[in-house]
Amino acid sequence: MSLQENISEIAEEEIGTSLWKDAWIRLQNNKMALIGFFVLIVMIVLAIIAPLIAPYSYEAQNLPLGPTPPSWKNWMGTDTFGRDLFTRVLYGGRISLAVGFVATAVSLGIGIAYGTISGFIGGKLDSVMMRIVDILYSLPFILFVIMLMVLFGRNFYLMFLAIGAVEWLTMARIVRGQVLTLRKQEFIEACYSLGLSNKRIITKHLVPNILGPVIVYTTLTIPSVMLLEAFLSFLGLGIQPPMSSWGLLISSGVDTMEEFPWLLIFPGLALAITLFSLNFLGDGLRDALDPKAAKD
Amino acid sequence: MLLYILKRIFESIPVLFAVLIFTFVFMKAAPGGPFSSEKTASPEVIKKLNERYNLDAPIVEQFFDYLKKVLQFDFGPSFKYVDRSVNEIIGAGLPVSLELGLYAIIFAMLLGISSGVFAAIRKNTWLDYLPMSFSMLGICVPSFLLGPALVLVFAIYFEIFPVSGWDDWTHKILPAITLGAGYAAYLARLSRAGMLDILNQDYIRTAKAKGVSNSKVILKHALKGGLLPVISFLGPAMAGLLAGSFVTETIFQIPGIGRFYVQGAFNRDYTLIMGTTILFSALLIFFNLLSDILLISLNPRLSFKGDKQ
Amino acid sequence: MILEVKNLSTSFYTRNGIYKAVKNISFSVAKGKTLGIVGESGSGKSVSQYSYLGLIPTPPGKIENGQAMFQGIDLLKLSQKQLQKYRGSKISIIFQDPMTCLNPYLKISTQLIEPLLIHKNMSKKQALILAEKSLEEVGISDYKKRLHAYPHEFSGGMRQRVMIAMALITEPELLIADEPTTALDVTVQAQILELINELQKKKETAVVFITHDLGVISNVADDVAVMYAGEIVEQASAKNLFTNPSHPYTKALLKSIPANHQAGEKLFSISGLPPDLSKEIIGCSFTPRTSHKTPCNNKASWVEIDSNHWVMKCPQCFELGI
Repeated sequence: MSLQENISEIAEEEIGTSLWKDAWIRLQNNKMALIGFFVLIVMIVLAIIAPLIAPYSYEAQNLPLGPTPPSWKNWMGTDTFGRDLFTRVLYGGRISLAVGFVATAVSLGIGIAYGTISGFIGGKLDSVMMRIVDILYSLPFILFVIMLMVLFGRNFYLMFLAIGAVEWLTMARIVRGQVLTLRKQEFIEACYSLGLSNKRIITKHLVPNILGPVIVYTTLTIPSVMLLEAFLSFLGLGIQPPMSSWGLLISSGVDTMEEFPWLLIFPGLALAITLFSLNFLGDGLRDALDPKAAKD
Repeated sequence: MLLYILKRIFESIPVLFAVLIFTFVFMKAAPGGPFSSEKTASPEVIKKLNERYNLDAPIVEQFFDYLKKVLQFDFGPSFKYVDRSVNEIIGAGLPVSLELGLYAIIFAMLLGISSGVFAAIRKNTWLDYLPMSFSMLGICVPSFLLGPALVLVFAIYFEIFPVSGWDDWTHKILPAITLGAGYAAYLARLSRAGMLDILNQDYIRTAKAKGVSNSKVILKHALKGGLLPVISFLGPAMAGLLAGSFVTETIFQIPGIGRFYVQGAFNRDYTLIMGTTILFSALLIFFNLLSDILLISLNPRLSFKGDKQ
Repeated sequence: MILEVKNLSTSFYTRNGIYKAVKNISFSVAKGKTLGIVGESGSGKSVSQYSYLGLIPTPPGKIENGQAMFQGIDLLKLSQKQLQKYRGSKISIIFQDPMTCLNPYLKISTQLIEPLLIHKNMSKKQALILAEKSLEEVGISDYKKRLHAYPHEFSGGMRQRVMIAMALITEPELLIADEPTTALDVTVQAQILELINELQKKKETAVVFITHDLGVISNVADDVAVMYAGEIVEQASAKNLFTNPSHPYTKALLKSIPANHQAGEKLFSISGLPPDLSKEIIGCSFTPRTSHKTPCNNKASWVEIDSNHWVMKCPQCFELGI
């Protein structure tokens, strides 16, 4: 048969296995990523239904009881005010996870917008925008966040902004990098020459290629953000009592860790396990979505 | 190369300037002055203090006043510790923090790079899974968890190391590990990825086809390229080391500038905050520059003139 | 015969199945002669040569069986350490892509003298002198200065010359050229082929030349083995192959050469795709690619149709032609 007909026939057959299907298969094979995924779901569900399942009220103090180790009445023990630790860890999880997701969303929004504009328009604007990113990268952002939190009152919403502001830089870089590369890609030209429609090119080729690293990086940003929040809370700059996050719980746990180690261990475990899950999932996603997964 | 260094220094001046302005504006915009917490002082005393520190003058004047002093490397007196100057405080704290940072980085590099390289060579075996699991731990367990945990186990339970302080070498081990663990974890993953990337390259196959022994292939052909991502990570890593020092110095009661910074922020000690911020920024710029110079020197495809081949 | 390979089979054990890259092939090369191996990508040409040098990564690869006699020793029975003594000294390889096959972080001099330091026990000084000479031999001008440059300072054609110099510096008895000109432009191709030819004559090296380009084969090969789907389907002297091709695949290859078409004629291409080598192939492997596509369950047999001209003959397909 003719060359032309042969190529079209082969092209149709090959496009069958899309990137996503391939990635999904690879992801399913990665046990740690799957475990991470399920643990994460469990954590999220627990956080959402916390008010329904918490055995005690969030603030109910029982001063005469004081701190007690884990028992049947209090699964994780009680703290120095007699409050049930399990309840506090549950509610703390709500805050920590909420901060994690929302702040990540903030940095995602800023980063994607910034990166797409810079990459698409290109030219001088791109150089300037990236220069700004480079400069911001070299600034000790942490310092500013600390200053921000100290000086402007420990505003809950301000914290989202501050944390989000630290993380958007890398997202912007990644998105811009992807947009730039894709604009030059030969395979895009190949698609054109094969006669694929614009719509097909955008949905089947461009979007998956940008989305991939974005999804991966988002999944890996959430734990960074949660760590940042915990870090700020540890220094007394993040969540303020009576609200509680895992970071805050850990902070007060450290103060009394010699006598009442469970106050440190349980929130610490909760945070560590969640971070583990997110990282394993993120890693798994990265391996699955990278077509050049030569790491196999 | 000299030209390159000068160029970079030149470029960083506006950055430092921006940092200065930023910080200054922040400090002044915050509600409450440095003395608002001194409820015991009478209005006259407060007025006198304000005068002495020139807080009544218009803001712009205050800024240029400060700028002048900074250019002479005089960061002014501390607002909180009235009889000490910021220079003094920085002078006392900086060497301590640098020392801690150095030990942390050495620990991180030794542990991280070696485990990463071995993990890459023995991919998908126990020598790979074990270090990588530990490295995951290092990434997920923050220093404010690890530090207290180490103290609990090694200082309180086993009584091998002291709980806090910074006097002799026994004091320096736990903090260095606490600060460095996160980096060891990242470095392990980075070097593993870098090595794997190189080991998949065609020129490794060429080396094998020439009869080069396996160990030589790794040491001579793969290592240089494989460790480049590690070097480019080190510059920006300093920023994180900075942040880490706040926590570590707090936990272990180490008299470094990290701890002073946090306290200064709480105390609204203007000059201390500004001084340390400028210092940190300068350090960051310096280390980034160092990292870039190393990178360009080691990679024959890059040159100081900026053209990539 | 310098190298005699018999019944070599190599498979790859992957998540998606056992991929039989090379199935029971046999070939040999004589001193001073060139054996050309022709086939599409994925036909097993490179794997067939890397197998007996131990360059196949062994997970996931596995040499299922076979024998590779080189100077009286079966290479397939040697350990990696023992094979290292042959690689780069008695048997050398020139690889396909000169852009990626040289270490960008090391100087050319370092890479050139390496085989000499390892195999010939020379001092660095002596080796450097030889290295200079080798660069001159492959036609690199300004070789004294170039010796201490980095790969990225060379063009593609020059890098390939360096690869050739590196492969021949120890004066090996067997040279494997794995598509050495595929990544180069046409003008440079001719020069490189000429160079290999020259050096071969000088040192009486045996050469295995792997390529998918029949034009190149007609230029360089004394004998040709045509590979398809992991098997050798036809083997003959170059002359016989071109004048009297027997297997439908060989015929189809010849038919596809653009130069064999009339002006204005539609270019012929072999329909379909090469078979999935992880699936068991029943009957003759080439049928699906013929125009008639009749399923064939006959087992092909290795038949000698002329002096030293062998074909994997499947009675049905041979009847029906392309």
